[in-house]
Amino acid sequence: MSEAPAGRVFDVSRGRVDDGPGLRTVVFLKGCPGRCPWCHNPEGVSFAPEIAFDATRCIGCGECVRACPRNARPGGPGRWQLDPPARSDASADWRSGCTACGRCVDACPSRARRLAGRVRQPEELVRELLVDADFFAGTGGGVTFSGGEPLAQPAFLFAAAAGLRRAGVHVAVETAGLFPLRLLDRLTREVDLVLWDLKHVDAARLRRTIGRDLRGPLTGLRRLSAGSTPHEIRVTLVPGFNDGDEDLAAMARWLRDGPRAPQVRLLAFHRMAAAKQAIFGRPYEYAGAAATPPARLAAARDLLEAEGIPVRGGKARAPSPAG
Amino acid sequence: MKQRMLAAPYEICLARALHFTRAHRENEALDPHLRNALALRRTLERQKIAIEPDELLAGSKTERFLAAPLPVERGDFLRSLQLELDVLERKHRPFRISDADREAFWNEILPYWDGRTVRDRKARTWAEAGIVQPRPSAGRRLRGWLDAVRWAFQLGPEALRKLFGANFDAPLTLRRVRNLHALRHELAFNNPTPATSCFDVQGHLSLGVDRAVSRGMEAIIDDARERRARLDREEPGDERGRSFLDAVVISLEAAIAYAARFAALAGAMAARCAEGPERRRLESIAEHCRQVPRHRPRTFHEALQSAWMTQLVGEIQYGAHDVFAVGRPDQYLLPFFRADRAAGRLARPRAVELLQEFFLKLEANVEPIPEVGMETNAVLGNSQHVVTIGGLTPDGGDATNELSYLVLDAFEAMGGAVNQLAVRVHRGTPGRFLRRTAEVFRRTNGIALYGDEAVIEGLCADGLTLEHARDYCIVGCIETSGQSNTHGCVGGHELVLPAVLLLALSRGRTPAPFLGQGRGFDSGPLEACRTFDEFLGIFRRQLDHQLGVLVAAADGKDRATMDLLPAPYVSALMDGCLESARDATAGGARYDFTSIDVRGLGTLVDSLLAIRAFVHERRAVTLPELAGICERDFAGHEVLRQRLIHEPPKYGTGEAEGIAMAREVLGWLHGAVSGRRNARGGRFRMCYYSYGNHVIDGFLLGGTPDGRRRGEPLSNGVSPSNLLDSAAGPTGVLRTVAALPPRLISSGVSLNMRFFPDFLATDGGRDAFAAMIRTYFGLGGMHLQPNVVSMETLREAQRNPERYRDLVVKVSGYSAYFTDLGRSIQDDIVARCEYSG
Repeated sequence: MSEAPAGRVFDVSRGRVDDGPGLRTVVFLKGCPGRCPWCHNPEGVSFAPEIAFDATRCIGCGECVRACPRNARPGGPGRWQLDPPARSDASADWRSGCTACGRCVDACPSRARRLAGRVRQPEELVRELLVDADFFAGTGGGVTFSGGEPLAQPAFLFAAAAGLRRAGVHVAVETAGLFPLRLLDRLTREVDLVLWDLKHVDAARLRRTIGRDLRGPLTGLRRLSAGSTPHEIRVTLVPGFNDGDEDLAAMARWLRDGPRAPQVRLLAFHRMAAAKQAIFGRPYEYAGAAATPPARLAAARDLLEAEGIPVRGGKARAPSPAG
Repeated sequence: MKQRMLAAPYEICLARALHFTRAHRENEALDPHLRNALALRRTLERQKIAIEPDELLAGSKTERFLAAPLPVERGDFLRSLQLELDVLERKHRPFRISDADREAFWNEILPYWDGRTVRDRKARTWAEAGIVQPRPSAGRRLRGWLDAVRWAFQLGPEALRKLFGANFDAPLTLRRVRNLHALRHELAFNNPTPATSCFDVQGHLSLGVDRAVSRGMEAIIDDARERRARLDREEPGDERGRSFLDAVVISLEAAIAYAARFAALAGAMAARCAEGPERRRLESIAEHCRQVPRHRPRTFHEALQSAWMTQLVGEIQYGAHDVFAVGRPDQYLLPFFRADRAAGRLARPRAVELLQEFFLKLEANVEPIPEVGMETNAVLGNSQHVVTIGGLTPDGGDATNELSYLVLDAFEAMGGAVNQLAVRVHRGTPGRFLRRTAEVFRRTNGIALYGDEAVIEGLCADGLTLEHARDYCIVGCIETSGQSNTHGCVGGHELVLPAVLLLALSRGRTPAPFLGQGRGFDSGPLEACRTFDEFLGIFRRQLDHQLGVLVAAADGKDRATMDLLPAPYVSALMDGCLESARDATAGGARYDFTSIDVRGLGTLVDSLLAIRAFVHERRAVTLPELAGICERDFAGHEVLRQRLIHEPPKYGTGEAEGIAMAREVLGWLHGAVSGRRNARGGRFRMCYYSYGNHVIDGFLLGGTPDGRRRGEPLSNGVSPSNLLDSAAGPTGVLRTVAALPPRLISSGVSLNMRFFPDFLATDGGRDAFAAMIRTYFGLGGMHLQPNVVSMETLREAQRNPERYRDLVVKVSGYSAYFTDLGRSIQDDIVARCEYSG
């Protein structure tokens, strides 16, 4: 008998209504094989734990510096530095010597620091999630696993999903299909709902953007659509990537060619991730991009519907809470 | 009409005050029941009346379009006018007053009532009982001034300006200086200690509008006459009972005659009108006002006319303080609606139009609240004329009906509806009704939801019969009451829990900010407590002392009201009063209670949990050290403050520790007063809401052990503190509040939660929301006030208030126009954590 596999979770967000039916708790799993530059959850990309630092909460007490075993100068940008001259050189970025051991997070009195990517055991996570079981049952809600790419940690994901379903909780998984296709059968058997993020139907553009060649995003969706597992296709309109009329028309044609008429939920691009760049200390390519205007969303919706694709939604999507 | 209301200036009308003054002066020798009935009659006979253009329901409360009757005889408005008559135009929201009214106030009204009001009598009782010290010794007086100066310095000019508004900046004339000097003890007559307040009002109640509508006032007059005859036979010595019953007859006859004046006016106006819709409108008003409230209405339109006339006469009699709730109109108007529909004489849109006008009239209610209250109270639509719909019938069936839906339609059509709508929800409430409710409040706000199971359990524990409990309605902000049978005194007796804690931590030496407040009570030295339980012992001693002061203070107020201001008109419509031949203020109602309104539960629970964690478990700091750190507002202890905020278990996360501590606190409070009786023999009940005053409390109170700094708001109602991270999400809050036992909070609680409009933008979101509410009520929840508004909208409204004149928000149970609120409460609303989808 093998021990249940641990996983990395970067956030648990309760009381949400737009990631599946009813009232839901969304569990964000850390790590993604993709590298989409517009990613709304940039802290979910790397598999390694990271220290998030929110300068607006920092009181400059220095507890983090005293707690750091590697003298990694974790005093954050903007507020105060331990050793100012050293900061002129790039390697002096406080994150460079950091192994994300989390001691500074434990030491921080004001919660300016947060460890994104805590290691969780599935049973312990399930216990925490079941606190809301009565609200799940009462609202027809449940738990949605998102990310990152939740299927990048399949053993942990399926162990947690199984634990929840044993307790009668509805489980949804939000995926971009960035996983080996052999996992698909298991996914369709072991969860109640799949929310599939379709980014583009042009395989070459997908490859360029995601950074690797995977059959999952398109072939996987085709197979999912052929099966009986409830699923929803979600399209986030990304400025300059998939929100052009031609991109959408191509998407509609591709979807129409599928085994059955799929339902699509359109989501607007929003700018909340830009706020996270400071928190995680990394640049965000789409920081200057504007949120999808409602008119553009409506136009995209009309375009898809004119092509015979039923569309739901068309409202801004809330990001996972950061910091 | 809504536009006219929003554009109209706020005015002061002293017609009622003047008639009451003269009637009281002329009838001083009479029994107070008769004196008050005659004052009402004089006002109703002589006050100028008008029928407004487009009006479908006639009846006006004052001689001006947007003004309120001011009960100078009660005292608080007499004092606030005395203080502010010269700064009315400078107020945060200015009021207009005629020169004639101004002169009448200085020359006739103030000189007569000075010393004769309920407030004056109350103050004398308090002084005799040692609750306040209006004439302290020279030494005390000096210390009082020094305390006040110290307090003013601690607050700083910004907070003082927020607190005292126009009074702070207005130029000092000789008259103002004289008045300020005369009124220097006034705040102590509301706030006997820094932790308690006891106002001159007895609080909200359910006026028997349903009785007048269902039976007609003439039938009630017959009852009163019959009871009077029986009294003469059976208890010939009961002078008081006889006077009361005579006063009932005078009051109801005066109301009928007032309606007749409108009938005559409408008839005369119609006669001058050419044939057409305007003439038909006036003729129908004349016809309606001849029929009701004297007789039972013949149509839905007449039923609403009857309800409105009954309500407004109540306000004139009692004086405005937004006292009366109109109960459950979707129940008592239903027979008239159904009959009209069956006869084919009422189209639905017409019914919605009439309901809208009724609600607007309930809302057209402005009062010149003293500037001290301005930070939290809006002026227009500071309306606590709550309308209750849905829920259970007295025999346990589903009371939701077609009229309940039309009430929702009317609210929706009014857009920025301000009247409070209380929607009762029980297990069998149709899903369609709940979804429709969610849809409407997404657009309007102003709707609060009540869990029938918990409310009824609480009311039954208070002694209501199951049938009466099932027929409950909401009064005031969020307070529960039997319909037309409960004299609940739900407002005006307030306890601030974190202030009790600070008094316990300072051995009563927390400076008493107002002149005349007594020296604090020493509940024992902190150095001596070795365990957390020992500290709780100290806290409970302080709590018992403060509750004792509050109960004694309320007693003084209630006896003064009983002696001076019986309310025969209100009593006539209240179950039990005719039978017992006693006024409601003398305990005549079928059910009589006094509620203690408790504020800052979340802040207190978090503070106690923080003390336990840091002082007694980790021993990171001693109790006297922590008390000193709080007193110095955490200066030099920011790290400790942050740890106090973030590390201990909290109230509102759903954690067992927070729930257990909250239940313990509720139990202490309930236990401390459950054995006592009020001046009328009624029991005490507990109510947890703050109608915005948690912000004022925050100004006055120093740092608290939960890490809250001086000046920051306390927690609101039973909502968690603003310091709580939103990580636990709405379910953590809902589970915490649902775990509070109904019998300990039977008078009502207020849970405010803000939601993004997005949350309710889709059918799926609305369904999830409706199901979430059901789950919360299923777990034992009693109240939920959802606020659906985006942060951006509020910020924009702060920048451009003129563009958001009709933006409605909810502050702990009552609605208000956002732009009427003071800046700090606006900020508080914006900062309240947001549960976005």
